[in-house]
Amino acid sequence: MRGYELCLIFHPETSESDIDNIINSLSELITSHKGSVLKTEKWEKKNFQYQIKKQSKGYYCFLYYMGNNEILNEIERIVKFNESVLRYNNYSLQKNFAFKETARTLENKETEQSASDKPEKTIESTPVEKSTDTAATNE
Amino acid sequence: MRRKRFPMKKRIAFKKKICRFCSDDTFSLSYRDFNALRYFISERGKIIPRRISGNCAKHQRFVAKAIKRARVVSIVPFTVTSA
Repeated sequence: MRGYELCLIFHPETSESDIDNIINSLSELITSHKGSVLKTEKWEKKNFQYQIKKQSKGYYCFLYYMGNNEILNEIERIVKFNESVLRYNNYSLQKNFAFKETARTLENKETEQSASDKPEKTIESTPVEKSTDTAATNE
Repeated sequence: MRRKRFPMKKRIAFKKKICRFCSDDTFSLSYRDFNALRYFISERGKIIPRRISGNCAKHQRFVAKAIKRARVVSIVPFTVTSA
C-alpha cells in the first residue's frame, strides 16, 4: 500500500451535499478495497488563475489515502465521468516526503505504514564494504 | 585581431546566498500553498532561477516541480499578461 494524494476540483455550482456524497463514496471504495483514508481537506470557493472549462471559480478538495493499483483505477473511473468534477490529479506521497509540508498534514498515521513500504536509500552499506577490502589488502 | 581581455573584470559582487530550506528545518512547501510559492515566481509567472533565489540544487528541483503541479491545478498561473 502506498500513500497517494487526490486533488479534486469541483464545479462552482455543486452543492456541499453533492461534494460530501462524492467524497464519501470514494472513501467507502477505498476502505472496501483494503485501503485506508488518512485525511480529507476541503477548501472554500477559490478563484482560478486561469479558466478551467470556462469557469473562474471552484471548490478544491484533497483526499489522502493508502491504496494500490486497483484503487487508483476505480477512483479514476468514478471521478472521470462525473460532470461536477472539473479536474482531478493523483500524486504519490513517497516522493514528496522530503517536503515536510505534506508530512505535517498527515498526523503520524502514515509514517508507521510507509516506513515499511518506502524504499530507503542507505549509504551505510558502502563503508562496510570498503573496510573489508582495506583489511584484505593490508593483510 | 583578438581583443585582449583585461584580468580585472567589472563584476557585481554576488552575495553568497543560503538555501532557505537547508538552513531552516521548518520551512517547507507544497504545491497547494500559493503564499509560499509566490516568492519563487517572477512577476510574469516564470520560475526564478537558482542563482537569484539562492536555493540549493535539490530544493530548486522540488520547488520547480511544486510550481509546475500548482500550475496544472490553477493555483499558480502559467503566464501573467500585464493588463
